[in-house]
Amino acid sequence: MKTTIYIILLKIALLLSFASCNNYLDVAPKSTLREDEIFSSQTGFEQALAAVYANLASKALYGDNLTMGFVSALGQNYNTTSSNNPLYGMAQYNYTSDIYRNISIDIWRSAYKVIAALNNIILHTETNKAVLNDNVYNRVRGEALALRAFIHFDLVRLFGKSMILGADEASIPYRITFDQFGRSPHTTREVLEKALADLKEGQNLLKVSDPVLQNSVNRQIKMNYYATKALEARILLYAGRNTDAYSVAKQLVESGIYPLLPASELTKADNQKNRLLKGELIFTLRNKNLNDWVNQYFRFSGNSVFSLTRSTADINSIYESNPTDKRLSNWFQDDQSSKFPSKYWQTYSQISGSNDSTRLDQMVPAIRISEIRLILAETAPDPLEGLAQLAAIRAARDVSGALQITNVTRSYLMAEIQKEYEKDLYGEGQLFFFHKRLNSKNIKFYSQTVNPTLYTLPIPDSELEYNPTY
Amino acid sequence: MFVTNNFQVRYSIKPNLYFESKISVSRQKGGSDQFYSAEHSRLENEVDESRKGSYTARNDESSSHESTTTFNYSLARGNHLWHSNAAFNIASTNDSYYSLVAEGFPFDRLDNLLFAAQYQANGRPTGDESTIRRIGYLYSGNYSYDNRFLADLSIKRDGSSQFGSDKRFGTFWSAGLGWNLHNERFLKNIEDINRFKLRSSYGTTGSLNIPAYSSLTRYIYSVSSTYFNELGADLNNLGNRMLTWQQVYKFNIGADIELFNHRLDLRLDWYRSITRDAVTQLTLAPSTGFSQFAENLGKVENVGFEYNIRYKLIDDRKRGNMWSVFVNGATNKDRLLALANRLKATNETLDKNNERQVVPNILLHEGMSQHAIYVVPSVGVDPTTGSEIFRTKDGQESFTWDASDKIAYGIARPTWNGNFGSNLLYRGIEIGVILNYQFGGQLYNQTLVNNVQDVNPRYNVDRRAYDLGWVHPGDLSQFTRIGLNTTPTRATSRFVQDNNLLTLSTLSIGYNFYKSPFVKRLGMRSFQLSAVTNDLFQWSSIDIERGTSNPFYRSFALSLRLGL
Repeated sequence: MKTTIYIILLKIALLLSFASCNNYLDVAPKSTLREDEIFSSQTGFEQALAAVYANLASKALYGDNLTMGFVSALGQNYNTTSSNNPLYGMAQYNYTSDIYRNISIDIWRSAYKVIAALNNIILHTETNKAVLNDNVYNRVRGEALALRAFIHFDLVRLFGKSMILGADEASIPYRITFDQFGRSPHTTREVLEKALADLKEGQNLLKVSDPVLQNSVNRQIKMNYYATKALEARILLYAGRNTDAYSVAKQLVESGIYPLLPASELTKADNQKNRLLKGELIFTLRNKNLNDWVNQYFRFSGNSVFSLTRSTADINSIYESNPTDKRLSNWFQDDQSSKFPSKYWQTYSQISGSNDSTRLDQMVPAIRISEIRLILAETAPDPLEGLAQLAAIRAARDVSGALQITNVTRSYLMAEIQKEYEKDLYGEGQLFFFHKRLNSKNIKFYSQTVNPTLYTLPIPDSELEYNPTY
Repeated sequence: MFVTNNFQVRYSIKPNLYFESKISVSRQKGGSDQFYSAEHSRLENEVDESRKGSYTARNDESSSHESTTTFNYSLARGNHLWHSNAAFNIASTNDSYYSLVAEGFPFDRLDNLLFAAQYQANGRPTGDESTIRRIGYLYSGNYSYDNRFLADLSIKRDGSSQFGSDKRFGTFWSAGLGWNLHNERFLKNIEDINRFKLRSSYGTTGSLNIPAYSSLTRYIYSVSSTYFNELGADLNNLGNRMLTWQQVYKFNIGADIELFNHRLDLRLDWYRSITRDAVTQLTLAPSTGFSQFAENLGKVENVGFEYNIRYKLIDDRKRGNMWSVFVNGATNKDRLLALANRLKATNETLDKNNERQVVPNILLHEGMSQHAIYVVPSVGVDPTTGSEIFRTKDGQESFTWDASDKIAYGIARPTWNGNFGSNLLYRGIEIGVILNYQFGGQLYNQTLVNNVQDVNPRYNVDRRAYDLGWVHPGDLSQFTRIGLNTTPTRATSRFVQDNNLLTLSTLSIGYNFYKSPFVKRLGMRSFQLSAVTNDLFQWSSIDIERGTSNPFYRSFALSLRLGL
């Protein structure tokens, strides 16, 4: 009798312990999901990718710093000499200030967090390929690869030396692995090559899967196939491969998918005004909370120098005081009798019943067709072809007066291209990179000759501190 | 609210063999509420009346269950005594909290959550959860011979959900020897020695002071990770699949001594332990996309000594009078023996490139304490310029702070800490005093840096910045020139201060009515009243700053104990 009890007890104990203990120790967190749960379904992949876009659109990256804010200040879009200015000292390239240190680490950290998320998605599209159908595999992986190129490219444009100043000097690590190890930085040239390779692979996958190619689905807010083309043109130009950039840009412009919008879009009633010329955006990121900082940046608060703007004289000078240029009259509006950039003012009210994707607000441009036209103008073998692109942009904006068409010199063409970067891409963050790429001696409104070292932003301290390979 | 329940079953199969199972379940609930009235200055700029005033309600919950089943077997043969014990243990603890914010309290008196006009605009409940599960098997055996020689041995296999899926289990063992000298013939007849036991042990244990989910890469859903109408899963952390138990190999030697008719009680211990695979939260390069990572780091040595002395000045049990004094203390020295190679590489560049370092880093050097404070030695503030003078590695004086000049200037742990005090029982009156002491350690006074040295003089500042800061050439000050555009203070020995502390941690007074006849009359076994207060007085070598972020409270507790 007693021995039977023993045996039963022993059996219960053994059963409890060995059979189920490994499962017992497999705890699934409740407030978060483990990666193996995320990547076990198509939905999970989509969700991981959606979060990447949300992070790209955050204030730290394209929601602010890499578009309307910090990078635009570097391009002298704003006068930041007041100590109450949110970007105080940034137009003076004061890279030792706390403001710079905070912004630079914010960009760096957030960008590499996005990269880590992308790397994990890219890794799992291979290891968990079985859960994805071909179409989703192609699209998710394609977008992820192209985005990895996109974000690395902007990091190297900020923190790496330009091709002219140091193509073969260490810039930033191009990360393709998901792990805890600091990687040694690649040279600018290497980063551009890797970005182009990622982009090519992503492009090929999107070519067979992106709905933008089959029908008119709104894909502006995603890294779509055309966005990869536009990005390719941008990177090729930065890498100095002008002939290649020319053919990519030409193809995209001539496809006619993204026509320049008529100036009447800008002059509509306030609540329907298409300030961002949305139809021209090949890739744009959307952020619901954009208004929070747009109101702080581009509205009157105490004194106009506390906001991100320039004097009326400066603004007139950018647009050459052209009386008919619709940008001058609609992208700069009065608030308490001071002029402010109104490109991001959100007065749009959605027409009832219309689709959310028809909204005109809450967006920041990442790539615009006019920039691709400017790339085409710069790389065209015939300067007249370039002038034609400029003329097209000027016509679309109702600019009066014609460009010189006889005895067109290279420097005349470049000067006119620069003006369009200043005018059309105002507040979109591309102007600084234009000057950096060309190693310009002067930037409009910067009173001194540019010291070339200012074009390379210092790597954030904590990276130098914790990455043993720097 | 705290509920705990213990259940125990014991079944004796034979007089010397029994089986015992214990199950304990406990559950704790708590919460906090934070109310800001509509008139609070933080809401001054809010124009929307329905958003004025806010209420944060937070709910905390933790529960745990644990079950232990043991088989015990003892055997006595003459002078030999064996005792064996096999156990199986399973445990789980869960902690969670959530909090939500409601807005719109137009009137001060309406401070109940129910009066809110709405939930916080664009807000959502926040919270977190963690679950840890453990499983353990244990065998332990004791042997004693003639109650003079003792030996014990134990083997344990433990698993925890905190570690990587392949590394969850660890095996630990320990062995010990003891010698009861007081039972030996040569000491047995000495009356003053009541107990004299020498003991020593060597063994391993696993410890797990890491967050619940360090080994898992996880994704989180939140408002900020949603891209318009698409729900987004945001990468939350980087998990270490290889994370495993840290193993502590500890050698211990000690003595338990009781002398003079049990009046003097001494307990002494000396130990040396080596921790292998010590788990540390590493700071990662931001280019990895993450800031922290739990890693089994290297080998750490701890050597320490502990003592506990109690002496009874009066020991009159018959009358229930007793007066004793006690003192105890511990000292510990830690030393990093070896670092994982990967970490070594990190350390070298830590100094070289880190020009703008502000807070002292946790640097790790082999042979040094893990708690060492690394700073650049400071000579003081130059009275002429109001700038700080540093001493470089080769003994020169310099105005420039260079990370490579850093030295280990102090240790952020006390050399000695412990308690001393006294207990008195006299005719039912009970008085207890406990003082806590610590000395020999240092602290980097970051509060002083933040609140005085690095303040922005455009805003309200600490009075010390105004009174004590350097102003004119010739001023002798502990602080450098305070002003706009001054460089932030880098890690300097100027702010490393000795951290000595003496606290009157507990004072209690009570009365036991055991002599009063009314206790029995009312049908009670005992009746006792006592009052306790904490932290009555504190003396510290560093001034302690109190404020909303470091509040001070003193507690007085009055308790009544009835025995039925």
